[in-house]
Amino acid sequence: MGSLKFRWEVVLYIIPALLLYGIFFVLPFAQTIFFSFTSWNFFGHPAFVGLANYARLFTDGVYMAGLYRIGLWAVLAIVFKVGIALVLASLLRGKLRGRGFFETAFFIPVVISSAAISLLFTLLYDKDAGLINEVLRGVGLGKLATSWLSNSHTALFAVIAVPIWHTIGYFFVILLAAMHGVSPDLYDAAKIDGARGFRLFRSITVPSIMPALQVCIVLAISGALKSFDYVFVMTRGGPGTATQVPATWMYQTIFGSLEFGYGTAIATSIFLIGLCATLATRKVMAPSSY
Amino acid sequence: MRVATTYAGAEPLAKPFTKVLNEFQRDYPNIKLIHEATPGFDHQTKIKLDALSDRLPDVFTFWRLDPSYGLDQIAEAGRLADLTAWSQNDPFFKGLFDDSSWDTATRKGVVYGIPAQMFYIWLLVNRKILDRAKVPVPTTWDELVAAGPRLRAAGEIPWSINNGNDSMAARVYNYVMSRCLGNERAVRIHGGLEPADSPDMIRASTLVQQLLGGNIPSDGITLSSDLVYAKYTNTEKAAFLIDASFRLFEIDPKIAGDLQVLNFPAIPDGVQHDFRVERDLTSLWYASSKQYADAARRPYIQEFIRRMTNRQTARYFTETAKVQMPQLDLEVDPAAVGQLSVETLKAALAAPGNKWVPKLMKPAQRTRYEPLMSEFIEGKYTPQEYVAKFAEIMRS
Repeated sequence: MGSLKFRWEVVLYIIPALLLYGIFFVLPFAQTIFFSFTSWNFFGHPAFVGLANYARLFTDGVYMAGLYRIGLWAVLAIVFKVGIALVLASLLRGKLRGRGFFETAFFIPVVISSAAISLLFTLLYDKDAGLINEVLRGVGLGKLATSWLSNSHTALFAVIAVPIWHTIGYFFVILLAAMHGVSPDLYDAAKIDGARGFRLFRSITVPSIMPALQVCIVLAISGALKSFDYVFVMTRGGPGTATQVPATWMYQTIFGSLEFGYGTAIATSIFLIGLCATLATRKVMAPSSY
Repeated sequence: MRVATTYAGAEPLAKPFTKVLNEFQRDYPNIKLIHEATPGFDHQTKIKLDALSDRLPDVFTFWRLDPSYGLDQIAEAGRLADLTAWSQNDPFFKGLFDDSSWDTATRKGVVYGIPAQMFYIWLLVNRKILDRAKVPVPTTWDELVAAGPRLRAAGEIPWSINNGNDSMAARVYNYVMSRCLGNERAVRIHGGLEPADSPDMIRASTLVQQLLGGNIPSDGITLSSDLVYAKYTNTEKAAFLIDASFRLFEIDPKIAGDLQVLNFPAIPDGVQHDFRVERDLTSLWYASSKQYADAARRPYIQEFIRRMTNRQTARYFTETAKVQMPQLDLEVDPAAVGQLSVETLKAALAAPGNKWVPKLMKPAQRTRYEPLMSEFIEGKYTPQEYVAKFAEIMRS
């Protein structure tokens, strides 16, 4: 059997990809970090301000409220997006008639652009002509009908529901593939020991697909942290600032207020929070943890 | 030659502008015109990004040089062409625009823009809805305020307006502020040049809430303007309409006969008693300083702007797109523009103009001010709380 040996010639083959990665990711990323320590309105020379932009984050009420919102978003995404995808994948794991149809049906929304989905839901949420309120009125729950996106109590949840519905299929596919990789022998052995139903799910399925679950949870958290398109299309951060999240606030700070330095500090903070959340998730879900 | 405008898609000026553009292209086949059309406020982002990368289009339309739009900073950075000498020496401009338009096009003594389009704010009422609710057409402030609850009691929506950023509700707010405080003082307060936390501001804010509180559609805070017209104005579900002249085309001609022009009434104990209308330029033609400095390009840039701003084109734009052009002595066919346009313009030009109240506000302040004002109009804050928060924004 041969051994793996590092050969310098290999580097030549990956240089093009590294160059692209460097130019389109590493360089802009480094520039973002640089500008986050400056005060700059796009013109003239950026003025170095040290950590002032980062200190400002803690006194920026809109940003801090946005952090709370994406935290809530992440929790709801994990519970509903990953949770529902897990249940659906578990239901469709076995031999089920029409399984192919369901797999396709769950995945179809994923291929539609988030902007199109957001526009669609803007109409569905309409107070007067929206389908959701029509259904509520039709089943005698007209009292619950409201301006979903204009009501500051419901707007955030109405927005969060959209990406959950939109991307459940994506997580479903990941988890279903992972479940298919679980050896049937494990289930047979467990059944011999008397395990049934939920016990099988809890003790065999979930631990066996833990790496895939970890990926899904990390994706759900990062999706929440990065959320921009759904908010931007449906509410632009309104009503007032009720759905303002760090990504949309960053956009308004940079392109509305022309505060490039502070805006990039918001961007960097989103990255750092995402990094911490990812590392924490991996630590909590490490094999020794369960 | 790159030309950037907002005349894209369903924008009324898109087709007429393209026609004039094509005529220019035909007359100057040696020039390749590239039209970069970006709708609405996204155009602001595009121009700012172009300026950042020092590749402003040769010619572009943009809003006024008010600080809240950010173009003043692009001018400060030397990226906008200085059109002073040209505008003062070219006989083409003699008697074309009034002093107020040139004043708007000028910043610190330098003419940066050539007037492209003007706006005025109109106030209309749907008489059919008032008749349904048995509410008389208001002629005084007290009658206007009283009309709201009476219309609501009759199951009607008093105001057909939205209340998000840059909203129709903001136009009402601006009017009340100008009427109560005087336009100049209102502009200074909203530009941070005068303290905002004053009893006068609290009183004016109270009056805004009295007029609009509970009287606008419940989904108004997130509706776009075109949806307001589709849902409430053209379906005749709401009585009072207020907006800028460049949206008159959104009103369904079928309901035009039910609409009556109103003069925004004076407010008791307010500073401004004479009838005033908010009006100014809404967009101007600008040129890139880099491209304008090119002696070979400059004549074409100038000729292009002349083509876009001469009276013939102005008349064509007005009659086709129903927009208001700032050229003096512009004779348009009333039948082409519609009775509403004729009446509202007549009302607007009969009075001195008010300037846009947030005119001097910085972009960073405006980003915070607009959501605050929306929430205040929705009733989230008392006038005292609103003024305190507003003053904090103005101090930043």
